[in-house]
Amino acid sequence: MSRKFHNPINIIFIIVFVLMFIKILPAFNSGETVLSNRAGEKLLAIAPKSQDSNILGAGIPNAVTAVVVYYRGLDTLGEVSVLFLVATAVGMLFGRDKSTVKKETNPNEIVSHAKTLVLPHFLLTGLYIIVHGHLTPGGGFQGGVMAAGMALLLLLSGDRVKQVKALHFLEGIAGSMYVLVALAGLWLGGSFLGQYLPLGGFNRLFSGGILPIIYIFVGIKVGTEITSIYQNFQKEEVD
Amino acid sequence: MTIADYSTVMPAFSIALLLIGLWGAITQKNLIKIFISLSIAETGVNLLFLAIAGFSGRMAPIIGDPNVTTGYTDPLPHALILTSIVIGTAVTALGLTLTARYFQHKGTLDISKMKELKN
Repeated sequence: MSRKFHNPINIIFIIVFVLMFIKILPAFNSGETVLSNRAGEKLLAIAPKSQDSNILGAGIPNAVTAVVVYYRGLDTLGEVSVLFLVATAVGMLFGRDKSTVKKETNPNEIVSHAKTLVLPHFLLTGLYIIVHGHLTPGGGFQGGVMAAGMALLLLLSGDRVKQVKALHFLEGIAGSMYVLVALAGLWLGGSFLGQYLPLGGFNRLFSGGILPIIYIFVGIKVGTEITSIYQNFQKEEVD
Repeated sequence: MTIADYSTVMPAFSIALLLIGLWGAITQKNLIKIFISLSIAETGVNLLFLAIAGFSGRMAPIIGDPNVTTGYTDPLPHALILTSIVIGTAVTALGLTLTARYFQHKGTLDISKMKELKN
Protein backbone atom coordinates (compact mmCIF):
# COMPACT_ATOMS: atom_id res chain seq x y z
CA MET A 1 0.00 0.00 0.00
CA SER A 2 2.65 2.49 0.98
CA ARG A 3 4.91 1.49 -1.86
CA LYS A 4 3.64 3.92 -4.45
CA PHE A 5 2.68 6.54 -1.94
CA HIS A 6 5.99 8.36 -2.10
CA ASN A 7 5.23 9.43 -5.61
CA PRO A 8 5.36 13.26 -5.54
CA ILE A 9 2.44 13.51 -7.95
CA ASN A 10 0.19 12.10 -5.22
CA ILE A 11 1.27 14.81 -2.80
CA ILE A 12 0.70 17.48 -5.44
CA PHE A 13 -2.79 16.13 -6.11
CA ILE A 14 -3.62 16.18 -2.41
CA ILE A 15 -2.46 19.77 -2.07
CA VAL A 16 -4.48 20.82 -5.12
CA PHE A 17 -7.58 19.09 -3.75
CA VAL A 18 -7.24 20.74 -0.36
CA LEU A 19 -6.70 24.17 -1.90
CA MET A 20 -9.70 23.67 -4.16
CA PHE A 21 -12.01 22.79 -1.27
CA ILE A 22 -10.73 25.63 0.90
CA LYS A 23 -11.59 27.92 -2.00
CA ILE A 24 -15.12 26.50 -2.12
CA LEU A 25 -15.77 26.75 1.64
CA PRO A 26 -16.84 30.46 1.81
CA ALA A 27 -19.60 29.68 -0.68
CA PHE A 28 -21.45 27.98 2.14
CA ASN A 29 -21.39 31.17 4.17
CA SER A 30 -22.69 33.34 1.37
CA GLY A 31 -25.20 30.61 0.53
CA GLU A 32 -26.73 31.19 3.95
CA THR A 33 -27.70 34.78 3.13
CA VAL A 34 -29.71 34.09 0.00
CA LEU A 35 -31.76 31.35 1.59
CA SER A 36 -34.97 33.18 0.78
CA ASN A 37 -34.29 32.72 -2.93
CA ARG A 38 -33.84 28.98 -2.72
CA ALA A 39 -36.21 26.44 -4.17
CA GLY A 40 -36.54 24.87 -0.73
CA GLU A 41 -37.98 28.07 0.72
CA LYS A 42 -40.66 28.15 -1.97
CA LEU A 43 -41.39 24.49 -1.32
CA LEU A 44 -41.75 25.23 2.39
CA ALA A 45 -44.23 27.96 1.58
CA ILE A 46 -46.47 25.84 -0.65
CA ALA A 47 -46.13 22.45 1.08
CA PRO A 48 -48.71 23.03 3.86
CA LYS A 49 -51.14 24.97 1.67
CA SER A 50 -54.33 23.46 0.40
CA GLN A 51 -54.83 23.05 -3.30
CA ASP A 52 -55.88 26.42 -4.62
CA SER A 53 -56.30 27.32 -8.24
CA ASN A 54 -52.71 28.40 -8.82
CA ILE A 55 -50.76 26.82 -5.93
CA LEU A 56 -49.98 23.11 -6.14
CA GLY A 57 -50.08 22.57 -2.38
CA ALA A 58 -49.59 19.23 -0.73
CA GLY A 59 -51.51 20.07 2.44
CA ILE A 60 -49.27 18.18 4.87
CA PRO A 61 -46.93 19.43 7.64
CA ASN A 62 -43.86 17.33 6.74
CA ALA A 63 -42.21 19.22 3.90
CA VAL A 64 -39.68 16.46 3.22
CA THR A 65 -42.49 13.98 2.59
CA ALA A 66 -44.18 16.52 0.35
CA VAL A 67 -41.01 16.80 -1.74
CA VAL A 68 -40.31 13.07 -1.84
CA VAL A 69 -43.79 11.78 -2.56
CA TYR A 70 -45.53 14.66 -4.31
CA TYR A 71 -43.16 17.05 -6.07
CA ARG A 72 -40.62 14.33 -6.87
CA GLY A 73 -42.98 11.37 -6.84
CA LEU A 74 -41.80 10.05 -10.19
CA ASP A 75 -38.23 10.04 -8.88
CA THR A 76 -39.33 8.02 -5.85
CA LEU A 77 -40.95 5.51 -8.19
CA GLY A 78 -37.60 5.11 -9.95
CA GLU A 79 -35.82 4.79 -6.61
CA VAL A 80 -38.16 2.01 -5.48
CA SER A 81 -37.57 0.34 -8.85
CA VAL A 82 -33.81 0.44 -8.25
CA LEU A 83 -34.30 -1.21 -4.86
CA PHE A 84 -36.53 -3.85 -6.46
CA LEU A 85 -33.90 -4.47 -9.14
CA VAL A 86 -31.20 -4.93 -6.51
CA ALA A 87 -33.36 -7.29 -4.42
CA THR A 88 -34.01 -9.34 -7.57
CA ALA A 89 -30.33 -9.36 -8.50
CA VAL A 90 -29.28 -10.48 -5.01
CA GLY A 91 -31.88 -13.24 -5.13
CA MET A 92 -30.66 -14.30 -8.55
CA LEU A 93 -27.00 -14.36 -7.55
CA PHE A 94 -27.67 -16.30 -4.36
CA GLY A 95 -30.59 -18.33 -5.66
CA ARG A 96 -28.58 -21.17 -7.13
CA ASP A 97 -26.36 -21.34 -4.05
CA LYS A 98 -27.32 -24.64 -2.43
CA SER A 99 -24.19 -24.90 -0.27
CA THR A 100 -24.55 -25.30 3.47
CA VAL A 101 -22.57 -24.10 6.44
CA LYS A 102 -21.89 -26.05 9.56
CA LYS A 103 -23.76 -24.85 12.61
CA GLU A 104 -21.06 -23.80 14.99
CA THR A 105 -22.34 -21.54 17.71
CA ASN A 106 -25.55 -21.48 19.62
CA PRO A 107 -27.18 -18.07 19.73
CA ASN A 108 -27.02 -16.07 22.88
CA GLU A 109 -29.63 -17.09 25.45
CA ILE A 110 -30.66 -13.52 26.13
CA VAL A 111 -31.09 -12.72 22.44
CA SER A 112 -33.16 -15.79 21.75
CA HIS A 113 -35.47 -15.12 24.67
CA ALA A 114 -35.73 -11.36 24.26
CA LYS A 115 -36.68 -11.60 20.62
CA THR A 116 -40.28 -12.57 21.35
CA LEU A 117 -40.54 -9.44 23.47
CA VAL A 118 -38.81 -7.10 21.05
CA LEU A 119 -40.16 -8.29 17.69
CA PRO A 120 -43.73 -6.96 18.01
CA HIS A 121 -42.38 -3.59 19.06
CA PHE A 122 -40.05 -3.51 16.07
CA LEU A 123 -42.95 -4.11 13.74
CA LEU A 124 -45.27 -1.72 15.56
CA THR A 125 -42.72 1.12 15.58
CA GLY A 126 -42.02 0.58 11.91
CA LEU A 127 -45.71 0.65 11.05
CA TYR A 128 -46.26 3.75 13.18
CA ILE A 129 -43.45 5.58 11.38
CA ILE A 130 -44.82 4.52 7.99
CA VAL A 131 -48.40 5.56 8.73
CA HIS A 132 -47.42 8.90 10.27
CA GLY A 133 -44.93 9.68 7.49
CA HIS A 134 -46.79 12.81 6.44
CA LEU A 135 -47.10 14.24 9.96
CA THR A 136 -43.89 13.44 11.84
CA PRO A 137 -40.27 12.83 10.83
CA GLY A 138 -39.97 9.50 9.10
CA GLY A 139 -41.94 7.83 6.40
CA GLY A 140 -42.06 4.82 4.16
CA PHE A 141 -38.35 4.29 3.68
CA GLN A 142 -37.36 4.71 7.31
CA GLY A 143 -40.25 2.71 8.71
CA GLY A 144 -39.84 -0.02 6.12
CA VAL A 145 -36.19 -0.50 6.97
CA MET A 146 -37.08 -0.48 10.67
CA ALA A 147 -39.67 -3.20 10.21
CA ALA A 148 -37.18 -5.16 8.13
CA GLY A 149 -34.78 -5.04 11.06
CA MET A 150 -37.09 -7.66 12.51
CA ALA A 151 -35.80 -10.17 9.98
CA LEU A 152 -32.22 -9.31 10.88
CA LEU A 153 -32.96 -9.85 14.57
CA LEU A 154 -34.46 -13.23 13.78
CA LEU A 155 -31.31 -14.06 11.84
CA LEU A 156 -29.12 -13.01 14.78
CA SER A 157 -31.12 -15.08 17.23
CA GLY A 158 -30.47 -18.19 15.17
CA ASP A 159 -33.87 -18.67 13.62
CA ARG A 160 -33.99 -19.56 9.99
CA VAL A 161 -36.35 -17.21 8.20
CA LYS A 162 -38.18 -19.16 5.56
CA GLN A 163 -38.45 -17.86 2.03
CA VAL A 164 -42.07 -16.88 2.19
CA LYS A 165 -44.02 -16.66 -1.04
CA ALA A 166 -46.41 -14.20 0.57
CA LEU A 167 -43.57 -11.72 0.99
CA HIS A 168 -42.90 -11.55 -2.75
CA PHE A 169 -46.62 -11.39 -3.42
CA LEU A 170 -46.96 -8.47 -0.99
CA GLU A 171 -44.01 -6.71 -2.60
CA GLY A 172 -45.52 -7.05 -6.06
CA ILE A 173 -48.92 -5.87 -4.87
CA ALA A 174 -47.43 -2.80 -3.16
CA GLY A 175 -45.42 -1.85 -6.25
CA SER A 176 -48.43 -2.29 -8.54
CA MET A 177 -50.67 -0.28 -6.24
CA TYR A 178 -48.16 2.59 -6.25
CA VAL A 179 -48.31 2.73 -10.04
CA LEU A 180 -52.10 2.30 -10.11
CA VAL A 181 -52.73 5.06 -7.55
CA ALA A 182 -50.38 7.32 -9.48
CA LEU A 183 -51.95 6.42 -12.83
CA ALA A 184 -55.44 7.15 -11.53
CA GLY A 185 -54.24 10.73 -11.20
CA LEU A 186 -54.01 10.90 -14.99
CA TRP A 187 -57.80 10.72 -15.26
CA LEU A 188 -58.91 12.18 -11.94
CA GLY A 189 -56.19 14.67 -11.06
CA GLY A 190 -54.97 15.84 -14.44
CA SER A 191 -51.45 14.42 -14.27
CA PHE A 192 -49.43 11.41 -13.22
CA LEU A 193 -49.39 11.43 -9.39
CA GLY A 194 -51.95 14.21 -9.46
CA GLN A 195 -53.94 14.87 -6.31
CA TYR A 196 -57.53 13.67 -6.56
CA LEU A 197 -58.54 12.82 -2.99
CA PRO A 198 -59.73 15.45 -0.49
CA LEU A 199 -56.90 17.00 1.51
CA GLY A 200 -58.74 16.98 4.83
CA GLY A 201 -57.82 18.97 7.91
CA PHE A 202 -54.28 20.15 8.40
CA ASN A 203 -52.13 17.98 10.71
CA ARG A 204 -54.70 15.18 10.94
CA LEU A 205 -53.94 11.52 10.34
CA PHE A 206 -56.46 11.26 7.51
CA SER A 207 -55.22 14.16 5.43
CA GLY A 208 -53.01 14.80 2.48
CA GLY A 209 -55.05 12.91 -0.14
CA ILE A 210 -52.98 10.30 -1.97
CA LEU A 211 -49.67 11.11 -0.25
CA PRO A 212 -50.01 8.89 2.86
CA ILE A 213 -51.47 6.11 0.71
CA ILE A 214 -48.49 6.15 -1.62
CA TYR A 215 -46.03 6.36 1.28
CA ILE A 216 -47.64 3.32 2.95
CA PHE A 217 -47.17 1.34 -0.27
CA VAL A 218 -43.55 2.53 -0.45
CA GLY A 219 -43.07 1.40 3.14
CA ILE A 220 -44.48 -2.08 2.47
CA LYS A 221 -42.33 -2.43 -0.63
CA VAL A 222 -39.11 -1.27 1.04
CA GLY A 223 -39.72 -3.48 4.09
CA THR A 224 -40.34 -6.62 2.06
CA GLU A 225 -37.39 -5.94 -0.26
CA ILE A 226 -34.89 -5.39 2.56
CA THR A 227 -36.24 -8.50 4.29
CA SER A 228 -35.74 -10.57 1.16
CA ILE A 229 -32.18 -9.21 0.79
CA TYR A 230 -31.48 -10.30 4.40
CA GLN A 231 -32.97 -13.70 3.72
CA ASN A 232 -30.84 -14.23 0.65
CA PHE A 233 -27.66 -13.65 2.63
CA GLN A 234 -28.30 -16.59 4.91
CA LYS A 235 -27.39 -20.16 4.14
CA GLU A 236 -28.81 -23.51 5.11
CA GLU A 237 -27.31 -24.79 8.33
CA VAL A 238 -26.55 -28.40 9.09
CA ASP A 239 -25.83 -29.75 12.52
CA MET B 1 -16.07 34.37 9.78
CA THR B 2 -14.34 32.53 12.56
CA ILE B 3 -12.77 29.18 12.01
CA ALA B 4 -15.16 27.51 14.47
CA ASP B 5 -18.13 28.76 12.51
CA TYR B 6 -20.69 26.04 11.98
CA SER B 7 -21.06 26.63 8.25
CA THR B 8 -17.31 26.16 7.81
CA VAL B 9 -16.65 23.24 10.14
CA MET B 10 -19.48 21.08 8.87
CA PRO B 11 -18.57 21.20 5.14
CA ALA B 12 -14.87 20.76 5.98
CA PHE B 13 -15.65 17.73 8.12
CA SER B 14 -17.83 16.14 5.43
CA ILE B 15 -15.28 16.82 2.69
CA ALA B 16 -12.62 15.23 4.90
CA LEU B 17 -14.84 12.15 5.24
CA LEU B 18 -15.33 12.07 1.47
CA LEU B 19 -11.59 12.26 0.86
CA ILE B 20 -10.90 9.56 3.46
CA GLY B 21 -13.40 7.31 1.72
CA LEU B 22 -11.95 7.94 -1.74
CA TRP B 23 -8.46 7.36 -0.35
CA GLY B 24 -9.51 4.00 1.05
CA ALA B 25 -11.25 3.00 -2.17
CA ILE B 26 -8.05 3.70 -4.11
CA THR B 27 -5.45 2.27 -1.74
CA GLN B 28 -7.12 -0.78 -0.21
CA LYS B 29 -6.67 -4.21 -1.76
CA ASN B 30 -9.48 -6.04 0.02
CA LEU B 31 -12.85 -5.88 -1.73
CA ILE B 32 -14.85 -5.60 1.48
CA LYS B 33 -12.64 -2.76 2.68
CA ILE B 34 -13.22 -1.02 -0.65
CA PHE B 35 -16.98 -1.19 -0.12
CA ILE B 36 -16.58 0.12 3.44
CA SER B 37 -14.55 3.01 2.01
CA LEU B 38 -17.24 3.73 -0.57
CA SER B 39 -19.81 3.84 2.24
CA ILE B 40 -17.66 6.32 4.16
CA ALA B 41 -17.32 8.49 1.05
CA GLU B 42 -21.07 8.36 0.54
CA THR B 43 -21.63 9.45 4.15
CA GLY B 44 -19.34 12.40 3.47
CA VAL B 45 -21.42 13.45 0.46
CA ASN B 46 -24.64 13.12 2.47
CA LEU B 47 -23.28 15.27 5.29
CA LEU B 48 -22.12 17.85 2.74
CA PHE B 49 -25.67 18.11 1.41
CA LEU B 50 -27.02 18.51 4.94
CA ALA B 51 -24.43 21.23 5.54
CA ILE B 52 -25.82 23.05 2.50
CA ALA B 53 -29.28 22.75 4.02
CA GLY B 54 -27.95 24.94 6.84
CA PHE B 55 -29.76 23.67 9.92
CA SER B 56 -27.90 25.87 12.37
CA GLY B 57 -30.51 27.50 14.59
CA ARG B 58 -33.37 26.33 12.41
CA MET B 59 -36.17 23.88 13.02
CA ALA B 60 -36.77 20.59 11.24
CA PRO B 61 -39.11 21.12 8.26
CA ILE B 62 -42.25 19.90 10.04
CA ILE B 63 -44.55 22.85 9.71
CA GLY B 64 -46.83 23.57 12.64
CA ASP B 65 -48.74 26.53 11.26
CA PRO B 66 -49.49 26.70 7.53
CA ASN B 67 -49.16 30.48 7.55
CA VAL B 68 -45.68 30.61 9.16
CA THR B 69 -43.15 28.94 6.90
CA THR B 70 -39.92 30.72 7.79
CA GLY B 71 -37.27 29.54 10.21
CA TYR B 72 -37.25 26.00 8.90
CA THR B 73 -34.38 24.24 7.18
CA ASP B 74 -34.34 23.65 3.45
CA PRO B 75 -36.31 20.40 2.85
CA LEU B 76 -34.89 19.78 -0.61
CA PRO B 77 -31.43 18.42 0.43
CA HIS B 78 -33.11 16.19 3.00
CA ALA B 79 -35.32 14.66 0.33
CA LEU B 80 -32.37 14.21 -2.03
CA ILE B 81 -30.33 12.53 0.69
CA LEU B 82 -33.20 10.17 1.42
CA THR B 83 -32.87 8.98 -2.17
CA SER B 84 -29.10 8.84 -1.90
CA ILE B 85 -29.14 6.68 1.24
CA VAL B 86 -31.49 4.16 -0.33
CA ILE B 87 -29.40 3.93 -3.50
CA GLY B 88 -26.25 3.60 -1.36
CA THR B 89 -27.80 0.70 0.53
CA ALA B 90 -28.72 -0.95 -2.75
CA VAL B 91 -25.22 -0.50 -4.18
CA THR B 92 -23.60 -1.90 -1.02
CA ALA B 93 -25.93 -4.91 -0.98
CA LEU B 94 -25.25 -5.74 -4.63
CA GLY B 95 -21.51 -5.21 -4.26
CA LEU B 96 -21.28 -7.44 -1.20
CA THR B 97 -23.33 -10.09 -3.00
CA LEU B 98 -20.93 -10.09 -5.95
CA THR B 99 -18.00 -10.14 -3.52
CA ALA B 100 -19.40 -13.17 -1.72
CA ARG B 101 -19.97 -15.03 -4.99
CA TYR B 102 -16.45 -14.17 -6.18
CA PHE B 103 -15.00 -15.48 -2.93
CA GLN B 104 -16.89 -18.74 -3.34
CA HIS B 105 -15.43 -19.23 -6.81
CA LYS B 106 -11.85 -18.04 -6.34
CA GLY B 107 -11.22 -18.06 -2.61
CA THR B 108 -9.62 -14.64 -2.52
CA LEU B 109 -10.68 -11.04 -1.98
CA ASP B 110 -7.39 -9.43 -3.05
CA ILE B 111 -7.96 -7.26 -6.10
CA SER B 112 -4.30 -7.51 -7.13
CA LYS B 113 -4.85 -11.23 -7.70
CA MET B 114 -7.82 -10.75 -9.99
CA LYS B 115 -6.34 -11.40 -13.39
CA GLU B 116 -9.34 -13.00 -15.13
CA LEU B 117 -9.84 -10.18 -17.58
CA LYS B 118 -6.16 -9.69 -18.34
CA ASN B 119 -4.92 -11.48 -21.40
